[in-house]
Amino acid sequence: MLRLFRYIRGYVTIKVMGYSPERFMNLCSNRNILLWNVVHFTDYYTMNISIRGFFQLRPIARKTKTKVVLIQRYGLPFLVGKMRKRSIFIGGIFGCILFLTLMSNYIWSIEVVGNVSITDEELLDYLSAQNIQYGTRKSTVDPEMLKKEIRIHFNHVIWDSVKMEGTKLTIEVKEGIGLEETREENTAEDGTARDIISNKNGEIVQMVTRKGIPLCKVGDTVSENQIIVSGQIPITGEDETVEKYQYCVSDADIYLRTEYAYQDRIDMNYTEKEFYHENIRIYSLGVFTRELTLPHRKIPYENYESFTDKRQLHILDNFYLPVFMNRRTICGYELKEKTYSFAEAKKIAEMHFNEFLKSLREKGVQIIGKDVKINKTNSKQKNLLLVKGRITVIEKIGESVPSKNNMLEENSP
Amino acid sequence: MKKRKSRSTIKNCEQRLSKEHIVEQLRLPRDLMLGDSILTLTGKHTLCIENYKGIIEYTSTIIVIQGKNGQIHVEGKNLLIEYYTNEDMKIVGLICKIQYL
Repeated sequence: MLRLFRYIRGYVTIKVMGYSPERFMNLCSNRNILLWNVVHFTDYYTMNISIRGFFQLRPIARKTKTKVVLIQRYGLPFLVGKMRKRSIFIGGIFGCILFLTLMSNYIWSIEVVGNVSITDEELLDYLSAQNIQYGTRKSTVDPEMLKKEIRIHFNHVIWDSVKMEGTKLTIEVKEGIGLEETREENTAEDGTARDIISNKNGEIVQMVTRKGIPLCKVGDTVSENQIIVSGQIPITGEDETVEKYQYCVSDADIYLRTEYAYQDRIDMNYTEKEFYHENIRIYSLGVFTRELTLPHRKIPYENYESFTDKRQLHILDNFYLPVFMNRRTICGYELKEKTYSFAEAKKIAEMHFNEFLKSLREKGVQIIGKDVKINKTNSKQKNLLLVKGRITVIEKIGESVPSKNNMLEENSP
Repeated sequence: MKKRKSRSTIKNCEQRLSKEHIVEQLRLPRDLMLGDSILTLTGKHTLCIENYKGIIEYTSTIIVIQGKNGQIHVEGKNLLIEYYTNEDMKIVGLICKIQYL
């Protein structure tokens, strides 16, 4: 604290030599001039003294017959004097501060976190439709309103938060799949009947009906769009004729043995990209939406892949500025015609097949049989490996659809 | 001439003794009434001195201070006056000996 105060007021280091430096110090203290860091050297003393004290030294020095030499100046008053000559530098500092304060009023970075099915672009497009984009004034964005609007616009967003920190807008969303299902159930409970129809051809292997009248039984072969469970429960009178139907939303677990056709063709001839070892890097500087490419050498490749690494300038974590540094890496390659050997092609075919099976399993399908054949066709134009086969699976099926009201008319007397 | 001088010193001593007596009896602070120096020694590296007249000698091994009732010799190594004002001063360095003369 004391040091800061001294720095603000300014002080100097002086060298005192001559007949009686001790008397010089005593006189200084008598006149209330503070001395500090008094160091003794063989034939002189150095000490620090305030600027005001320094100007009072002349009579003391004359009286004690000592010589006072100024060695070093410290503090703000001297700095200001120096800086007067460097007006552009000072102007630059103030300009920089002004630039930062002005820039901090705008959004320079938008980050989307937690989205799975909604892509970043989709959300950013929506935001730009709401006039929230790169370079929008922060005061025009109402986070609370935006939060609600996102939830309304994207149905399966169950929770979201809009955070504005520095010049960065962070949108965090959580998606849920439960919402649509519950909606479906709600709409079904309005007194209309719903049937369960088959959406595949196959044989029923297991069936548990919880609500509704089953029209098929285990072992039956059903075709696509055939009603399996009806939502219209007939109520018979004493004479065993149907008097009326009670409507319900049918509910059942139906497992069907069904077949999937699998087909895959692998072209034995293929072109491979053979990359050159050397990459070319092109740097460019972006300010706002403009981009300035720095000089680089000409791209000598005919075919090339390029990817850009974009970096935004930011101070601390959240204070982003509209200044970018882009690095474009260009990897040149040569196209080469190649042919797979049978073993290689077979391996690729197997890989594709396994991926297909995996995607089936992920859907909750139980695979009970595979019958796949690999054929090689060796025509002149094409050198192909054909994979064909059928996969037998047990799969849970059933689609809830509104019941057609014709049953009552047909069956009623 | 000599006789007159010795007579005045005896008179001074008597005056001082009576003054000391009064100060002791009234329990007044000795530094204010008699001009005794206050030396605050912290460890053997820092010494604060109050109530003095001035410096007589200052080197890195010895500092001689003129108090109101005599001289104080501070001996040591690498002695340095951190600050020096009319009221107090601070000496830092390795202090070996403090002597009253």
